[in-house]
Amino acid sequence: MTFARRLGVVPSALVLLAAMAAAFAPALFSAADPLRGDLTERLLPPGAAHLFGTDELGRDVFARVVHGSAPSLQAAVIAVGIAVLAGSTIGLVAGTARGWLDDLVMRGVEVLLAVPSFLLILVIVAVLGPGTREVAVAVGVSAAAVFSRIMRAEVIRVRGSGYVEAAAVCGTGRPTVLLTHVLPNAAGPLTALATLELGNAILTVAAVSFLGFGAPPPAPEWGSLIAAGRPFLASAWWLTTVPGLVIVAVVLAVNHLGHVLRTRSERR
Amino acid sequence: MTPLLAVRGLTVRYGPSGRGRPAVDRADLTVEAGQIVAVVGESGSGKSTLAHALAGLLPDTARVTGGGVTFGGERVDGLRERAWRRLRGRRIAFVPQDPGTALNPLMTVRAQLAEALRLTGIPRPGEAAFEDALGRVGIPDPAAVLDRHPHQLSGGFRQRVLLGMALAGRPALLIADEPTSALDTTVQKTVLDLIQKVAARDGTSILLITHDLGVAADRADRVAVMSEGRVVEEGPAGRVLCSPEAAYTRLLLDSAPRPLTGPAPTVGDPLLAVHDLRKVYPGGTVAVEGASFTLDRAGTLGLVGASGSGKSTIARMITGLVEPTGGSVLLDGAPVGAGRVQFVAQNPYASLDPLMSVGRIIAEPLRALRAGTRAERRERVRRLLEDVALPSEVVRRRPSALSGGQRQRVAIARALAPSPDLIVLDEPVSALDAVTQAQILALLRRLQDKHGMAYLLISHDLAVVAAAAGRLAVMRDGRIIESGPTAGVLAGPEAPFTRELLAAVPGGPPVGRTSA
Repeated sequence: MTFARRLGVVPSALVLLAAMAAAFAPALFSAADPLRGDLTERLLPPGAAHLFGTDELGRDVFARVVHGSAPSLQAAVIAVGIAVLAGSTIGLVAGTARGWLDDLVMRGVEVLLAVPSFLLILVIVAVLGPGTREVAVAVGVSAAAVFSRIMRAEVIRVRGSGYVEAAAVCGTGRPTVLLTHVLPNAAGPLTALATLELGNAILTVAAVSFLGFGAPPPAPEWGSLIAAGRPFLASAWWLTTVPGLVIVAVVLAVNHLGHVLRTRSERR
Repeated sequence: MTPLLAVRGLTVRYGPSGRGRPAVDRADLTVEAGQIVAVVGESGSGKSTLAHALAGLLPDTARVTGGGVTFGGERVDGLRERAWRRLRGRRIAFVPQDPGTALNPLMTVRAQLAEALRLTGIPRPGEAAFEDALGRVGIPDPAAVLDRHPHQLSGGFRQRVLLGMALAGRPALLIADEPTSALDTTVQKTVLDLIQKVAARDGTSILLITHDLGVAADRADRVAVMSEGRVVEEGPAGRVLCSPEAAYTRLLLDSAPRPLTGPAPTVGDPLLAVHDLRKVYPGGTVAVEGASFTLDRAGTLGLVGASGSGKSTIARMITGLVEPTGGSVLLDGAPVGAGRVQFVAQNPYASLDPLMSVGRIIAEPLRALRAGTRAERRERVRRLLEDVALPSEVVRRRPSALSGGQRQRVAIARALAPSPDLIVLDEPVSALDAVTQAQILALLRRLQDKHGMAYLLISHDLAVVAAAAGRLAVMRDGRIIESGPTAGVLAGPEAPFTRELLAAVPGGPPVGRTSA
């Protein structure tokens, strides 16, 4: 590992730790109410009293960012969870069954991949209705196709390996082989992809909520915070820039840690 | 007269800033003009690193930290890449180990040969130059080979093309790094014959890197034995192999497989009966055609043949991994039952799950058969580890922490676990070093004496089979062409192919060595 990359581990871990703490215990960071503002303190720039400034209703932006981290991160984690579970199940079935079932399932997956993912998400959200959980489901479904392909490839690779053959000669049944040999050995690339996908999901969730499909106002969410600050771009830059920077920092931290973990597991 | 190549105290280390353990440690070596010098050693002994250092092909992670190399009287260690390029292909040629990967799969033989010929100063080689280069390495119809891609050629022909490329510039020195270890014995013989012939004709010196003492004994004028980066012994081939001085050379010599002695096994109680077994793969490839044989209880049958002769397919059909197209496999007159036939595969690096502990791997057949309680299984694993002479603390280790020989012992322990009647050994030692190979073969014999199971031993190496099997069957193109007691077949082979196989064993046919 290069020195620069090792240097980034501690700040990345700190950023991620802070984001998680904000999601679980927002009161720890900000005592201010994220929903209620003081109209006498409208559009104040960042300062000692209001770390990230205030918005057009006098609400503390720092408090809103902190309270917005829970729904934003939750949606991303749920999305990745859905993608991993659904994708790997599909891939496992396709890779184990082979034959016509494999063909059928994988053609379906290819159709999913062929549709631009953002379009797919918007369609699903349009069907399910707006809301944090609905966005999470939509993002998860759109990412599942990639996981299913990786899982299928891994299953086929591991099934052809010497130790699976040895297990078959030992008399180990197929379900046991799948559980004890195939799944653990296929898990490596899948977890690597999941860490990569988490950063992606945070971005996508923010983007969808920016378009107004996330939690309805006045509940804070990172994407909708940026959207709400847009009319004041010229006069109050901090309303858009600060939540944007927070998203960038968290995504970078997740990707960086994911990369470090990945290279470390590859070296093993 | 100055020697063509002189290596004095050469030390090569890997790792950043060259501080790692030396891969080559103060090596001395001399190659006179026209001589064949063999460097013998196990994998990891540093012989490949030495070969690469002498060709200026060390990877970026390695560097020469001591000693020097002179070639034709000039220092060549520490040369820059540009200077090396002037030497390589013209004065020094290099033949790599694996002909399967050393040729560019997307280029025809002609295009790759043209590259080599351009190096030697023929900017636009004509048809005659191409045909001459291939004709020199014994390719009978060069015109037919020139426009093929590597995948259309057999391993032996690929190695000849590589050799033709290497020799195109009439180099003074040819460095051959295990040129035949990826080839069958019969092909190995033709390639080595060729190298020897070219050397004699053109006066090319040859540095032959090999793990096989037999190859060195057959071909080399001088032999250098390497172990752990050091040249432990160097001298004329006859002297080193007949009266070795270094303890390690003696160990290597003792590890060469020796044929079983004693009376031929009496025909006993048949355990396995294979009758008219056929396998046709989808697409019409006939892998096995009408194979029949029997195997006695507690006996060993050796199945020999070149790669592609169908011997592995037979192993797979007996272990139930592949469904036969026709014929029958009967164990004690009945279809093979669960756990009664076990399998040890060729590659111990692939046959053990990298994520499982050794204890779990060995207990796998027991779990599959639901034999015993957890405590009983643990006790059984402990005894199996004792059987295969592994220390009990490896139970918790992962396969990656074990050497190749230790891994193969684990695979054997796993096969032993359900007390099978028959163990199918598919090339059990071909991925292992000579010394480890001898240890594993001895272990297999000891286990058979103790537990009384039968072995079906599959190998391309006649010497290995002769050292372990009482009976022998020779396969070619999916058919068994000859079978009988090993000593009988070796003494009086009937089929021409068996004779060819016997003649190709490096170091002489195995029968001639019983008294050595």
